[in-house]
Amino acid sequence: MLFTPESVLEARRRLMKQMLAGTITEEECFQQALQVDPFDAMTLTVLGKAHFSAGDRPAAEEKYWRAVAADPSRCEAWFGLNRCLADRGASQDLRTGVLLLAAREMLRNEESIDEFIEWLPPGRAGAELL
Amino acid sequence: MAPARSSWCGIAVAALERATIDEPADVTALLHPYRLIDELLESAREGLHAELVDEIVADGTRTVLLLVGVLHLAARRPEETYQTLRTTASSHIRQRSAIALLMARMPARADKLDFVVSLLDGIEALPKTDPQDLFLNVADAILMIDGPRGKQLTRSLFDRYARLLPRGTDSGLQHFRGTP
Repeated sequence: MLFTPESVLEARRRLMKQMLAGTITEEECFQQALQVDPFDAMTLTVLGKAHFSAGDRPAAEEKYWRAVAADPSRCEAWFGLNRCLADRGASQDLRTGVLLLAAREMLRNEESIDEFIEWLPPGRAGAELL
Repeated sequence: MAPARSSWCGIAVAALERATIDEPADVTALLHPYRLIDELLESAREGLHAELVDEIVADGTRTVLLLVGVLHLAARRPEETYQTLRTTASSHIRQRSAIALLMARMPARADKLDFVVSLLDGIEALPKTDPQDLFLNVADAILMIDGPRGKQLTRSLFDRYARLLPRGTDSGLQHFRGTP
């Protein structure tokens, strides 16, 4: 869907309320959100991070690839993907190519630099990922 | 603060670009569609370049999903997208049919209908078969934007451009949502 219809926004709001009320977990919330809109880059990125934290690297990588396809301007997905690639020992050439796409997007959109810095764990510098 | 950050980013991009010069063919192949889209986003403010569009279309099966991503991005930045479409429409008359249909799906704005109608300016300069295609797509976009009220406008536009349109355009027009 190009412009998100009200029905999808309403479904997301309902899931968010359920999560805040504690009737569903954060992961359940985003898994269900993905069923509502399988191309939502934000949901895919959140799930990528969740899978990565839980140690499910293949699932994390799959979500990140889908996230960058759904929204190529989503830098945190590009960097998350890079971490997955590093973690599974993918070639440095592939990681460099992915990082280049992330960095070019950051250069195009300065707001994403701030978003990316917010997304980093405390104390981590962006350069550490290079 | 921001300029320092973008300088750092610029240095990183230059270094990374140097590092990709000798990358293996399989990496190039894997990242090719993403790079085409990156180039598309990079040049978007100047309008779409025909050669780049051709290259994206040539890699169609792999780029189509990414193009959906670009459309999502466009949906989040409607003003920039609108300006890009304006620039592209003025410099690439043969892409106006696609622009008309894209505009019909863009969020409402006061000058939306005027812009779609203006896509017909210069229609006489198009090669023989293209005026009909452009006219029908503009008519379809008008009806999508304005609903039944757009019927009168499409009819008056048809009367204005009829001498440039091949026989059969009128009946093609009637297929759109019961246009009289």
